[in-house]
Amino acid sequence: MEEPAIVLETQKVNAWFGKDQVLFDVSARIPKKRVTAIMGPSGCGKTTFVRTLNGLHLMTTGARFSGTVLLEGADTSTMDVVDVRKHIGMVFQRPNPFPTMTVYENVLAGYRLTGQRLSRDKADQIVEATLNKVGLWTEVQAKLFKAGTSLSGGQQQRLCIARTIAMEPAVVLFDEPTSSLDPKSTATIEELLSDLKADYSILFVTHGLQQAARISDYVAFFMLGELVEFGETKRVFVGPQDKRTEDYLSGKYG
Amino acid sequence: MAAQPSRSDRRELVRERAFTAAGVTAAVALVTTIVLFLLELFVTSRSSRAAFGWSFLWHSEWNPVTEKFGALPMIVGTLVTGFGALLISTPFALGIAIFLADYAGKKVSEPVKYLISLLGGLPSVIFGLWGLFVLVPLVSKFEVWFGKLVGSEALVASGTTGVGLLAAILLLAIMILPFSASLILESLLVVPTELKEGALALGATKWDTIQNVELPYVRKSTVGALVLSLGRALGETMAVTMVIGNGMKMPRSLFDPANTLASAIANQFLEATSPVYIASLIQLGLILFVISIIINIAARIILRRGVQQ
Repeated sequence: MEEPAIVLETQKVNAWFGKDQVLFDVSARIPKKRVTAIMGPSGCGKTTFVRTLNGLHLMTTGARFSGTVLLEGADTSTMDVVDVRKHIGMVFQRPNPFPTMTVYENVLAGYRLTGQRLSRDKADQIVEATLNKVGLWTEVQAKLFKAGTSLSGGQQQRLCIARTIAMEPAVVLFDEPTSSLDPKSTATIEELLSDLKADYSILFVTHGLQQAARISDYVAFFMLGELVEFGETKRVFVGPQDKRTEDYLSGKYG
Repeated sequence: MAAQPSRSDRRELVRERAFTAAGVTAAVALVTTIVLFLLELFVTSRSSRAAFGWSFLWHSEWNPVTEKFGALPMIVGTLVTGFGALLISTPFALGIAIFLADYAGKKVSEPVKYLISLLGGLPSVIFGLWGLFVLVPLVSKFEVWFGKLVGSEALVASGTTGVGLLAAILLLAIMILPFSASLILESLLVVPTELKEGALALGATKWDTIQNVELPYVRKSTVGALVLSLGRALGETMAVTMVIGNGMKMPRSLFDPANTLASAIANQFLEATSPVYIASLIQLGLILFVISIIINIAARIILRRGVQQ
């Protein structure tokens, strides 16, 4: 496998909630247009890690952060956080389509929210293309002008993926996006990832070992706020270099 | 299952029944009070209805000497002051609520919230005094200035004393502000964090998020809050009575002295001597009661829809 380019790089990232430190000197290099799974036991800091990347971590009162995040080599601390988020999209644990918007409006929510006007044709085109990309077009074609929240949970989550990629970000963060979904919806979203990585670099937080093994090209293993091991998924699963990774993979703690 | 109920079980049962009985009694008493209250208003205002019928609602003459009474000026006064106050206070209420929910830190928002509830609990006679000694002179100055500006005597023919509709509107706007601001704040505070974060994650600024996600989300409960505030303004008596000027004619401008239904009753009840005068004042009360009920039901319907969404 050819060594891919790096899209995101973190250097000595530390994060705190009040006095509790939850991330310790995390340095990682996230490959471009690959799926990187962030795995580890509950409370290991994996969600916090992805939230530091798009600045959502600091929205929590009392949250602090130190270290450097480079997006395509550019230091994000020198950029407006609003611009950073336009390049780094995010899909959340629970589907959160905007309840006051229709399916159609939800897909275009990013444009509306950032005040970008679209012509009618262009808007239609984006909605159809994006919903096709997430495999929703045929399912919701007849429901485009119904509330986004009227869809099933799995459909809502794909709608949230659609609204994220409609903005053409470089990176998409997935924070355990299937944890509230049934197995079938989960499978649909996992299949989607292999299509999406042609266009986007994906970080996928999961606490499921099998899920990480199924979907990812690279894997980062977190424990107690430390990045314990990072590497190609096959390599890490077959021959973990750290004792803690090996213990985790063999089910010693979960 | 067939076992003898133990002593403590039986005691528990008795207590349960006693409590239920007490609760039912209280509930029945409450409903009975309201019904009796309405009935009393209805019965004691009978002679006014006998004399004027429905025309009481749209006649604008109020003359204790000839014993001709019509409620239209007071109905107009009530609606103009109520809606006027709502119109003026709403932008401020929204601004305060948005600031406290999304911009102010806890160190600022907590004391301010406390001050708002304090202001909401202030007795209305204090607002009235403040209105009379501070607001009315200011309105008076404004009237003089406005009269010079437009040069029209007619506009300020009502005098430049400051008392009248405008003073009442401004005072009411201030009085309902804490109420509507805190209600809107409550609904903004329950907008789910995941929706706000969803918007921010798409590259929205805080203000984009407020405009496109938070405000649409609380739209219905905000309307409900405003209608409840309107209900307060319509029924407010003491403070309005002190600044509205007890004018019984149909007001022609905002500077005219006027009366609301409530202030007319408060202003005139002691002077009312003839039975039909008294009955007519009570009839005003009945009209106010009905208006308040309609507003409250409207608010409830809107609020319930807001929850469903």
